[in-house]
Amino acid sequence: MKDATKVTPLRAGVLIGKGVLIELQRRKDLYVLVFLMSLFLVSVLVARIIGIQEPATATFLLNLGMSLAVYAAHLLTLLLALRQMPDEIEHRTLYPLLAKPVGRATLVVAKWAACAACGTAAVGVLLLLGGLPVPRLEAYATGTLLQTLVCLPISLSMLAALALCLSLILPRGTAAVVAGGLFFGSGALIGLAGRVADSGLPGTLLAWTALYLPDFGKLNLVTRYTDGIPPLGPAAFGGLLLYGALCTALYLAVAAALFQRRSV
Amino acid sequence: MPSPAHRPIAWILGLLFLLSPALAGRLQPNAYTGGRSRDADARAIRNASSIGALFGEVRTALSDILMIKTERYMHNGVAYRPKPDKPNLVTRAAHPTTLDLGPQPVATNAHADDAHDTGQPDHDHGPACSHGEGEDDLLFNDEGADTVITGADRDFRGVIGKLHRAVAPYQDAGQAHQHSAGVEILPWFRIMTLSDPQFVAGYATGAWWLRREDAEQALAFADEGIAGNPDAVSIYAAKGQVLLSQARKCSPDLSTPNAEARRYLVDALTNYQRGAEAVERQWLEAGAEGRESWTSYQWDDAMAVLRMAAMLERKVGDPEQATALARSYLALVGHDATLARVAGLDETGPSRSDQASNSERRNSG
Repeated sequence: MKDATKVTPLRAGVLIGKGVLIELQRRKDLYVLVFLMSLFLVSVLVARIIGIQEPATATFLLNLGMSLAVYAAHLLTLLLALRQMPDEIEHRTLYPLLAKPVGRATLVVAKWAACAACGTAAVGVLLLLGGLPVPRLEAYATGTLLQTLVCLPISLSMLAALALCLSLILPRGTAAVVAGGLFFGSGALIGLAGRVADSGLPGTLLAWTALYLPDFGKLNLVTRYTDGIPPLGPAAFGGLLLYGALCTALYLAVAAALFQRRSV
Repeated sequence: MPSPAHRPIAWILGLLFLLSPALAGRLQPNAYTGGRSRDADARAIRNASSIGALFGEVRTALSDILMIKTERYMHNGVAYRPKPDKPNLVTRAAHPTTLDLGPQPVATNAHADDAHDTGQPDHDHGPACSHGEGEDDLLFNDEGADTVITGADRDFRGVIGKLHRAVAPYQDAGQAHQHSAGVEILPWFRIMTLSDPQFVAGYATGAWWLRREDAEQALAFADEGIAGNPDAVSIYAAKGQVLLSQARKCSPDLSTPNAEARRYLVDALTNYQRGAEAVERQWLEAGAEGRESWTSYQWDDAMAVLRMAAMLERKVGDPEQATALARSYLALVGHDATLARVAGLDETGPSRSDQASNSERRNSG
């Protein structure tokens, strides 16, 4: 006879993921974002009725819609991931979970996977709203689109891992600000460090250190797609995926280590 | 500390993290040349479209927004309807038909250059003062420009409109307007080019404004723009203007330049030669059909660079080479009175840029 109390890590992960999904539905964050994207959809439909004469304008709308969808999905993932661990601890729902028993590392990974999956589903829905209704009046590379769609879940996973990690170190508000700042600003900071650093050793060290910041812009190929640029070569694309996977693994490892040591 | 079973994984991850900048530094998926988002013509079309009008002051690029900021500073807060999609206005004032061989200015300015070069801040520009070719035209063309805040004669808002004009910085479009000295706008050009190294207008206009404060910095700024945008003809034109301006400062009468002025003229020649090479490349790549979509500013920039390259070659280089250059440019562009003069040919009729301007006016008519 099966031991009903024994929970395999996979089953634990699925159950935890269901919990995250239920929380997402309850919180209505997704619905707010869908509503906002619907406003964009309405404006695009109005523009189409008026008539979009210039291909440049259509490309701009496409880029705007896709970018809004990407940023909205990342915002959703960020907020979802930031809440997971602190809420479990605050509401004391963590103890029954750990008593199952579910390993602490399993819990962190399950939460991360669920947040990343929710974010991926959200970006799919939002891209349909933001990208599909815009007319394609210029040529775009399908290969670049596919690469964009592959990089998006990687980026969402990376952000979810980072948010989980920060939520275990910082208060929720501070973690939100730091994670949001890193998502929107780290690319600019890295670029700035690279440009203002002189060629001497201190400048090189500054530029090298700045590269430790997570650069989500590298995994956002929306503008490359709307610019009509061909897809990346295998080496460059593989490097991107490796970069995303490495950062994600690292943040997850740190989060798991922090949670192992945390007394709850 | 991680458990003994996980320590190898932890060490590997730690090592990979330490080495990750080596990978991250090489990954530049969004560092490509060209692209519709960086195309000046596409930017102009977007900003002029009904969608652009819908967004109003919001522009489709942050660098355009910063360019609008510079316009606000220059006009002491009064908001004129901006046209930041004019990719290069520097050569509007230096549309050379004759090289400065004497005490006359290169640019045929209706508004004297000296009012700006003496650094007079906040001076008035009377309504009789033409801005068609003046140096104040350099940031944007405000001749007959409308203000963002609707004027009293066309404002349906009544009291609200009156209040708006009283509270916000406003000046009737028909009145003489003021320009500030321009120092305050310099940091904006730095920020806009740091955030968008492909923003050619920022480099071209910024170098022109920076020359009043520090010409060497202006040249370095232009060089930075050229390094990131080697095909940006407008930056070559702007840098050339800075060099010519410096030459004139060293020797007001350039018909007999002193040694230092001559050095600037030689540098200007080298600069214009590089620009001319870029023009030739783009001319041939675009083809006749592609050149039909060139704006009048692209024509102006291209012709200015070609003319200056030929004229300066005659001035400080080899006259025979200048003749050959002028003839080769004429073979490229068709006909141009200035180039014909340098080539020693007798040619009358409109220049290429005049033809382009006429064509544009007809098409928009």
